[in-house]
This record gives sequence, C-alpha cells and structure tokens, in this order.
Amino acid sequence: MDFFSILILLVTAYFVFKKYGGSGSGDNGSAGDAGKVQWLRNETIRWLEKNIISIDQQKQILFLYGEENKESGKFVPYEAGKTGGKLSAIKILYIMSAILLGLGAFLFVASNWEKIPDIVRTLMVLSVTFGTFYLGYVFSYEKTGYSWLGKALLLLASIFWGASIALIGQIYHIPTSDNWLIFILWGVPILPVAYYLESRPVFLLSSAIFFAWNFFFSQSKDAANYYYPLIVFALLLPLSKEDKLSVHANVAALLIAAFYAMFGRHQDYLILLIAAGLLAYCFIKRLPIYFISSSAAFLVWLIAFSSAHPDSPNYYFIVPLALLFYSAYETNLKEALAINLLSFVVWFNLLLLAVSKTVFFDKSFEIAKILVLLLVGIIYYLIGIGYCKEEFMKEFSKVYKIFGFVLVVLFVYAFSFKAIYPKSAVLSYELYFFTALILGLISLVLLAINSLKNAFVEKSSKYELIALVTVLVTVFIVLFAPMLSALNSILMNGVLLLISVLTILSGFEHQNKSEFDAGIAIFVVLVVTRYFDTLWQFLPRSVSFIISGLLLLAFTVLLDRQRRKFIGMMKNG
Amino acid sequence: MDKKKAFIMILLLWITIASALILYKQYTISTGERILLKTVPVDPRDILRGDYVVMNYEISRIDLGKIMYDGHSFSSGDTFYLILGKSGKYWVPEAIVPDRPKDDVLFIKGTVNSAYGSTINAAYGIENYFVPEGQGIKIERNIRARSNSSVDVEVSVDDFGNAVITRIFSDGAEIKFK
Repeated sequence: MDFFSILILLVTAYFVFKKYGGSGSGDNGSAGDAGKVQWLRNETIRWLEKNIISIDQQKQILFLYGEENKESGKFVPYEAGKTGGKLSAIKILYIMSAILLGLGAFLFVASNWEKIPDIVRTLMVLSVTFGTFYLGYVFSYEKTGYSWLGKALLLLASIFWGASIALIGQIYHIPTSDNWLIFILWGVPILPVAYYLESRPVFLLSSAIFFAWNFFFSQSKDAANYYYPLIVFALLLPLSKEDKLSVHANVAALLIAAFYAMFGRHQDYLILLIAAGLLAYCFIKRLPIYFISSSAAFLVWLIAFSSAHPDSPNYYFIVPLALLFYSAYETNLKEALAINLLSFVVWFNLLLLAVSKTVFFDKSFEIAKILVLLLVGIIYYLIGIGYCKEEFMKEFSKVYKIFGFVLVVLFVYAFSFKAIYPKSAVLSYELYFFTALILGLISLVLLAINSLKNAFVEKSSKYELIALVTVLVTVFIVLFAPMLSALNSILMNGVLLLISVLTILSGFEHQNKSEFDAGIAIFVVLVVTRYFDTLWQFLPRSVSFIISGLLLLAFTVLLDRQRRKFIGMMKNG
Repeated sequence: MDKKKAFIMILLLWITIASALILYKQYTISTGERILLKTVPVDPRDILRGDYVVMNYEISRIDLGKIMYDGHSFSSGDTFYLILGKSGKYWVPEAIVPDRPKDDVLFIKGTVNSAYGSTINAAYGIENYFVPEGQGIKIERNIRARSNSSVDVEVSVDDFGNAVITRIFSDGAEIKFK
C-alpha cells in the first residue's frame, strides 16, 4: 500500500475521530436524568407483561439510555459524554487497523487466488462466512448498543454463505442446469437466521433467493414449479411473523410467478394452486393483502384457463368468485371488490363465448355480445345506486358506480361507430340474444326497485335516471333491430352526448371535479372521433375545419364560463 | 429459543451442509475410478458461456440400437445407468439399464434430457467445466482452430455412478489454468 493511500486513511481517521470520538464532544442526546430513565424502565416492564415487546427489544431500548449500576443494582443514565452507542477514539483506531488488515488480506488473496489450492480457497471463504456470522451474533446480542452493526453483519454473513455454496459448486463443476440446487442450498439455511435471530433483511434475502430459484427451476426443467408456492405458503409466510414488508414481498412474488406462468404451457394448475393458497390464507390470517391478491390471482387463473382450454366453459370459477365476493363484503375491502367485478365481467364473457360455441353451436351475433357487456355495466351502476343510501356501503357504492359507468361509456362509445354494425345484421334468437334480454329485464327490475326506494329524488339522481332510461331504451332497440345500423349508431351517439352533458351537470350539482372532468373528456372524445370519421369524410376539408373550429370555440367559451363559475362556487364553499 | 443456542445450531447447520456438499463430491474424486471420455464438437457459439466451458461427450447421445438394451422405455427426467467398457484409451457405452447394476462393472449415472425413437440425449452432471475468467479461450481455440483436435476429459466415477471432472486434455496434453 503506497504512501498516499496511508495518508488518505489517516486523514479519514482524523475526521471520523473529530465527529464521533472523545469525551464531551459530539451529540450527547442519549443521556437523561435518573428519574426519566427509571420511568422508562418501569414502562418497558409493563410493555413486556402485555407482550407488546420482547425481552430483547426491552434490552435494546434501555441500553440506548443507560445501564445497570453494578453496586446499587439500579438502572442509571449514562455518564455525561459517555453513551451506549458512540464510538471512542480507541475503538476508531481498532476499526481502522482492522479495515487495513482486512483490506491487505483481501488484496493478497485476490492477487494470488488462482495459486491457492481449491480446498484452501473453500476453507478461507467458509471461515470468513462463519466469522462474519459469529460477529453478527455478538454485536446483535452480546454487545450492547451495536445491534445495527450486528444486523448488518448477519446479512453480510448470509450473502457470504451464498458465495461459499457457489464457490463449492464451481470448484466441483456442478452443472449450471443444477443452479436451482445452489439457490435452495443458499435460501433454506439462512431462514433460521431470519427467524431465530430476528433479521428482516435476511428474511427478505431468503425470499428473493426462492423467487429467483422459481425461475431457474422452471427454465432448466421446462416445467411448472409447484414447489415454489408450497414453500411460500408452508414456510416463508408462517415464518414472516406477519411483518408487513415480508408478507407483501412474498405475496407480490407469488403474483409475479402466477403472471409469468400465464405465458407457459399448461401452467394453469400452478396459477390455481397460487390462487387457492392465497384464498386459504384469507380465512387463516384475514389480512387485506390476502383478499386483494387472491382476487387478482384468480383473475390471472381465469385468463390462463381460457387460454389453455379455449373452448371449455369454466364453470369452476363460480365457486372461488362467490367466496371472493363474500370475503370482499365481509371485510369491506373495495380494492378486492373492484378486482372481483372485473373478474366477473371477464368470466361471464368467456363463459358465454365457450358455451355458445360448444353447447349451442351459435353463429356469432356480434352486436349482442357487446350489448351483454353494456348491460352488465348498467346493472353494476344500478347496484351502486342501490347501495348509495346505506351508511356502510358508501365505498362499495362508488366502486360499483365507477365500474358500471366505465363499462357503459366504453361500450356506448363502441356502438357509436357505424362500422360495428355488420352489413347483414339479423336478429338471431341465440344464447347471446336471450342473455341480453334477461340482463335487460334485470336492469328494469333494479331500476324499478331503486325508484321505489326513492333513489332518484335529488336533482343529480334524476340525471342518472334520464341517462339510464335512455341507454336501456336504446339497448332494446339495437337488440331487437340490429339491422337498422344507421339509426342505431345515431341513437348511440345521442346517448353518449347525453351522458357527457348529464355527467357535467351532475359534477356541478355534487361539486365534484372528477365527475365534471369525466363529462368533458367524454364530450371531447366524441367530438374528435366524429370529426375524423364523419365530417372529414363528407365535407370539404376546409369547411370541416371551419365548422369544427367554430363549434369547439363556442363550446370552449361556454365551458370556460361555467368552469369559472364552478370554481368560484367551490371556493365560496 | 435462546439466541446463543440458535446461533450455535445455525452454525452447526451451515457447517454440516458445507461439509456434506464437499464430502459428497470429494468422495467421488477420492474413491472413484478415473476414466477418460471423448468429447464431441459442440456448436461453437455455445462453447463458452461466461466463465465455464460446455462439455458434450460421445456418451451424451446414446443410440439404443448400438448397445445392450432390455427394451425399457425411457422418458425425459428418468435416471439410468450406463455401463462403460474400455476401448483403447476411452471408455465407451456398452449397455444401459434403469437400475443400479449389482455386478462388478463400471457405470455412470445419467438423466434423460429427451428421448426420441432409439436415441437418448442424456446428462451426467459433468457438462460444465468452470474456468478462471478469460482462460476458457484456450479450450475454445483448441476446439475451433483444428478440425481434428480432440479434447478429452478425465472423470472420476464412484461406486454409485456419480461423476466429477478432474482434468481436461487437449491433444493429449493436460490443460492447466494456474
């Protein structure tokens, strides 16, 4: 090591010493008077009795502030200038010399690595690993005030353990196709460190190793890795001690594994295993993350099943779907409900598709397929209206209404294009027709029930009623007269325009900026779309530009006036 | 559990695993019979992957029609035992059986990667040879530069059929990396 390196190290040591070393220097924030420290000790005893903290945590808390006096046996604050966690000058010099020695040894080994026999290399790496592990234990549990250092060393030791296994694998030329074995030999033995020595970073490291192992295993064996979810459910999640980060990390890893499996061959059973495991955990642990993730996992399974068995109706999904809806209602989790609503739409659509092809052998009545989805949206919206008045269902009401609104707007927009209506559309009494008819009737019944419950009394609710009735009437016209493509497309454009205006007005009534913006957005999309597919076609370009520009200008002026008035109203409360 | 006890138990676990892994491989090297296997050319693009060399042997592809075979149907993932006999300086396949032979014969344990018709593609756990960074180019050059070059691999095979690479040779001369 040259002169300049030593000089830099000495200068660094000086500044470290100035900041942290010596008596009376630096921050003395950890000392307190005897009374406070004694109070703290008594409180920690109470916390211990109530199982709020463990004995180790109690020790860690107390040793930040004082120590037991050997003569009196009392717990006293540290002497002024002397605190449990601070470094003294001597300690700094020890650390600096250890760093120098360690660096020197490391450089010597690195430059002579190839000359060192395999067995000696292995023993060296293992010694460093075990030594680091020992120091990690000592600083965590034997020395006081250095738990931060101890935990860092435990993590380092866990990483070194992986390096040791990899080195042994390399020395004995274990094939890369067996890399998954290396991951197992790394990930499993560090789990006891995470659990018994209470190290969250090591637990997360182990979780990450198993996650990586999953992909290596799948790739090398070209098969689904059923062991990974079993290890997470049987080992990792129980050992996580319900630490939020640890649980969330493993659940996220499972969802990623499920999503990845979607692209593999015949891996729908693996996704089902993941989804079923998460659902089971919903009822065992009852944490929100399990409810939400199991909903998402079942949705992934639904898509994977349909991809693997394209013509098979998935009747099985009704069971987990019912359980998931029940769970969402029981726990009042709107995120889970939102995923379940999406799952229902996807499942219903796939089910009808499969049944109409394989059971009824229907020729496609394309318009009815989209009408079915539109009607599901209307039903969602009506359910949302029904929940509006119930105190504990207000959040769910919003979810249903938003979902319903999006579906209705999306499919009404789709129907606003003349091209969506086949040239030779005919009314066919097939599965989709009857399904649409039944859903239409259900919508009417729900509309009637909501009316009887006085759900449409307020001004903004009347807007909803107008929109719903208009959409339903138009849906029935399209359902029974699909051949009137021109009329249907005009009607749907009218419906969309009406929805946008009513949404804007509703936004004013509720003083809700999101509703207002949604109405504006629908209007703009409608105008721009019609401009490009209608005006552009029929009018000379220059005239189209002028008309569109004038319309937009007029609308903008009107809107701007209303917007200023709206903001003024909001500011005045 | 007491933290000190936990620390001791974990340390013992680590020592046990490391020792078991080393002893498992070292047993094969120390007690196994040293045999020479002939390698066959591989796709040059695959020869060197990172810091290890891919080895492909004559025994990696087995023609069931050319050796003694009892008609057992092998499929992907199956374990088998390949009985070897000496032909010149190399050891070559003589018979294939699904269970570990009890006779006093030399055999190597393998796994079926794929089987089609009367051909089996197999792996024996000796398909990679780790080399110091940048050193694999020596072997790569030998395989690519001369069409009649031969890279031979000395393997230690124990009584259970497990194999470990011990040395590699290029045109009869041992390749050393130190």
